[in-house]
Amino acid sequence: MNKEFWAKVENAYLEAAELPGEQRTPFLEKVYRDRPDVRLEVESLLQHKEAAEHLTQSSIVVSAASLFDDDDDLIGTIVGGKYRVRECIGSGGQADVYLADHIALDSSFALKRAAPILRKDPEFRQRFLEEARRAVVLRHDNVARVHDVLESGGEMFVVMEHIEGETLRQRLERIRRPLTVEEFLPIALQCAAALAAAHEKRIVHLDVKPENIMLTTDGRVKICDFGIARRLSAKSNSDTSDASTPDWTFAGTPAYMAPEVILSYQFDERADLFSLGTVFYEMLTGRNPFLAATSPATTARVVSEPAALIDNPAVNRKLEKIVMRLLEKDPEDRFHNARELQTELDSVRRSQRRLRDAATDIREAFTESRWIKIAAFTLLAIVAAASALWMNWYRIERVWLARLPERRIVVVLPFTVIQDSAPRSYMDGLTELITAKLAELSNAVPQLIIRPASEVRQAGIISPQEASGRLGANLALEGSVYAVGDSFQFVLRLTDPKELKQLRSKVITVSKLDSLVVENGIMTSALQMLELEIMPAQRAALAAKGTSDPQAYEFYLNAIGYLASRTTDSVENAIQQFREALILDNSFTLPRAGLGEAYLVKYEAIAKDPELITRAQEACERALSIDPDLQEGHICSGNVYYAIGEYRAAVEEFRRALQSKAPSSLNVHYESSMLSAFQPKLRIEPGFDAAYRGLGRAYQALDDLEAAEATYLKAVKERPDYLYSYTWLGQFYATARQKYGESVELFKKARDLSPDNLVPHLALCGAYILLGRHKESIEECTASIAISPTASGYMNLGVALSMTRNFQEAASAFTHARELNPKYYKVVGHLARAYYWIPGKRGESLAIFRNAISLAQDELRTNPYNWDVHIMTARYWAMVGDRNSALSHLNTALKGHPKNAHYQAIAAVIFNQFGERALAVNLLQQAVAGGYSTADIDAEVELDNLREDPGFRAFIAARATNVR
Amino acid sequence: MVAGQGQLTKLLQAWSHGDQSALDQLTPLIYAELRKLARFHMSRESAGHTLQPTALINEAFLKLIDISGADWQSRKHFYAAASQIMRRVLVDYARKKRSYKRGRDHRRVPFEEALAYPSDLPEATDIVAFDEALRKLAGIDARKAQVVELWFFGGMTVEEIAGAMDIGTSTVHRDLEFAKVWLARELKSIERGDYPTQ
Repeated sequence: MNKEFWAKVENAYLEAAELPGEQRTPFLEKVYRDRPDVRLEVESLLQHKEAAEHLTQSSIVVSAASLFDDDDDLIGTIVGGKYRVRECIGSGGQADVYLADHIALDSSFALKRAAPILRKDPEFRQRFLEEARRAVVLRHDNVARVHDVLESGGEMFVVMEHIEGETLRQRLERIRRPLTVEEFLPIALQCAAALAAAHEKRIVHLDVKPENIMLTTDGRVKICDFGIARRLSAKSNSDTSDASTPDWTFAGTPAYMAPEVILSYQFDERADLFSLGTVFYEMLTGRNPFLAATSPATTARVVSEPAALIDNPAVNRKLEKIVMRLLEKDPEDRFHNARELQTELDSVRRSQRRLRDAATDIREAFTESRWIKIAAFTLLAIVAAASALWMNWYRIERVWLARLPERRIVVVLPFTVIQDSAPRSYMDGLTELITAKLAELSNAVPQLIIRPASEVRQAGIISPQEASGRLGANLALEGSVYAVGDSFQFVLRLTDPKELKQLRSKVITVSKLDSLVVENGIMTSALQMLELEIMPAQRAALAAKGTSDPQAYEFYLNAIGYLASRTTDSVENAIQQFREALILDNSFTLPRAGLGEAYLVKYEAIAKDPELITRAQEACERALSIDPDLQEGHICSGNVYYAIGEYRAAVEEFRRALQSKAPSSLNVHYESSMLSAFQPKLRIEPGFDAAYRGLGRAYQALDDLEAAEATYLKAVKERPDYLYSYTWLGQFYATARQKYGESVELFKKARDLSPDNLVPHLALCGAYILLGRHKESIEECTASIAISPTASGYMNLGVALSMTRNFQEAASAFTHARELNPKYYKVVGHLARAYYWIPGKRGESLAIFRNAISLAQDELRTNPYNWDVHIMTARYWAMVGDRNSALSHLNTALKGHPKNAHYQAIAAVIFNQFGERALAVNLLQQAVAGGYSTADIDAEVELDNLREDPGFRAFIAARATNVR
Repeated sequence: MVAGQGQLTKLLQAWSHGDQSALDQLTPLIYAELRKLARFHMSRESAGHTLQPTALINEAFLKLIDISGADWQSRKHFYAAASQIMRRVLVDYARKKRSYKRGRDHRRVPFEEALAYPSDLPEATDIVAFDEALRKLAGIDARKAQVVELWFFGGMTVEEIAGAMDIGTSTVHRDLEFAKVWLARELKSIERGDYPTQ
């Protein structure tokens, strides 16, 4: 840390902190006008002024107290003279549970003990004891047994059956999807049986939730924790004795509590039925029907909002009715008791069995057509759903022709519009969506490979021949729409692109362009044509989600289509259409997240206006405030945090995106090209890819390279056929690990997967630059420019040419790049440097350097933690001879990435510029030790004066004998 | 307790002179005091009262150590050793506990949910994160880090710190104000990133 900088920051901070809030920024701008580094640092610190006030001497007393308070002092001791405590296996608000071995018997038990805060509370002790005594009475196969209650060391312990297995909550989090009906029924039946047994003994549980339902390894269900259970008055449940009226506050879980319990009026067994209903709902949909961002909001929903219908098509009407009846607000409208529920569930199970038998018959009839089986008997579910929901809307005609290849490599060609029957952008959006959904599905189906829409677009592929030749597809899906009277017909064709043979076709007729219906119809047809069976859970995830207003959905779809191309007009159109969608349905979260992404695209690609970032942030936050689990929302938020340099917050968001239970339907994502984060290619792809990429980038920015590497490796493992998984990892190896050889291999792999995509070419160009293989690098850049001229293509070309000291041609390449992206500081900086070294142009170069510096400062205003910008700014200041500014930015950058070899090499160039040769040589040595390419040192014209330096020569000689 | 004071004082002195094994003997004694402290704070009786901002040293440590025992070259030396050892014991304990909990992947329902927490209690600070941030600060500005250590873990007043470090009270004030905001920012990023602290 630079002492001068630190002292300046301290002074500036203390001065600014004295002032009233609104005067601080003007003060800093005035007094520290020429020290943007100090100003930025102080502004950042001022944001934490309030938090600093909470750091008090008392806060450590509280921390220490809470640290020692819940101390596990029990482990290893013997409780009640016979149970040796092994470990703590769970903690809740009210109690801790330990695993203990009986010292005489060869068996283990669970010991439950009041939470520390409650241990000494005589009232709580009394209840703990009473409740345990009640539970001892309860003996049922599906209830965790309570064996004993004992007192030891002045505390009460409840000795319970130890169950090996996992809780329902753990199961749901592990599988990250709703349960299938087949999985659901046995669990549901056993829960009903357990409650029936308890209720017959007049015991209500009152805290039924997934955490309290154990699933044993052998498939049995045990309901645990009748901890706050109470016994109802034997007389009558309309009696308002304290048995049915809570007279002290217990910590139930609001998201699973019955309304009458929350409202603290009379309740009976039927409160448990309500809780069980919320659990059933969550098992079948993956989410709690009432859960909101805060407890009071959740409580309000439980009490007054009806649960939304179950959106899982595998759940039949009868089962749905059962769950919805459990969730009735008025206990009178629910089942009378758990036995009645048990009978109803049993009848669903029996009809389910009959269906499955029928499905087996159908499958046998199809044995020769090699269906990919994802799950049993689900085709039937799809067909049944299709007939029930959509038969009125369209009719499906099918013709089976030939067999499909085992490994299906599919390109979805842009859907075409015949005679202006539908808006072009609508069809583009539809193509994107269908591709994204199929791609998402392909994650779960190894035999299915979907070429991303971005590749198809970039390679400009419109015919099946091209799909085969350039993307290696063996199937092409084509679609077109035309108007027939008042209705629309979609024709879908699946072709063999090599033989140009039509394999399958389907016609879907819809009465209007209702997007939900169209999309579901096309997806169902596409899946049937591809002979894919699909699990109900996946189907549910693929179903259009989030709005019941078809028109809002259509606007959303259009917007996605517009956002795919990144021209000024199309981004504005996308913003407009997202807004329209929101006007129609204010609670529709996807267009909110989309709007956030659109503002971010506008910021990145069009106008560097910080206001856009603010708006993007607001939009993402709104989306998340409505649906805290929305994957698109977390990705949107992560991208915003990344853009403003809040990398830790970005990590958090991307992690949440990866954890989000419902796989997203699609996602907007930025793809950056080699070694530069500009001119990102907007792509629409499954949310998990975007989240992996975002997470990796954020870790990298935080200098947590292990985590970044693990993230990218995971992405490759998850999607081995996905070109960008390789380019990300390759980019990472090149920029963060200096493993250029590995990078080249990965980029080649990406190039082979998709030879007409410009990204691998660009990446290879960059990696060859780093390896000093300038000729190959110029070839790859030229190849990328031939596919599509981009600023990054020209820029890397310019860099490669600069490396060969061809500054004249380099300047011309940089000029092209600058035309394509005039606001990018790096392009301008490179251009300035090229001019600096062209004889007679040095005078002109200074003004261009100043322009680069000012563009870089613009970037730093939004993101003061972009270390790359700091290091390059330092270099530019050095070139114009301003030592103070150069060193200040250099320090900031090195503070961010102290061990980055690239930064050390640039530091060497800067110190050399100021005549500090010894230091420069020293820094170069460190850079090379850290893996910096020595070829780069050879190419640096700025280091020429060092080549006669004895220290430099000694070190170069040492390196020559020690080449990697 | 009184009978043990002489020995404890010796242990602390031994440790401050570099005898690491003294720490092993000292730690359980400090734990016991801290547990007592915890019980007091978390018991129902104290919940209704406003916590006095008494510092740890006074709460737990002075009971153990006979500071007037004159073996100490100066109060300064004592405070420095005591603050350091308190920091070390707390951080080690918090870290051990954290890794234990992570290993079992167990979830604790947030304390606030289990019981209405009196709102005038100061917020707890993540001790491991605080230690990490403080170490980082020491790398940049050793004096500020020491001021914070004496103040936070040693519970000393500004005047005591000034006396112990031979600097002016206004410097201590400035150091504290700036260090706190710097640490607050660091803590925020640790908390948000949830990156592993070892």
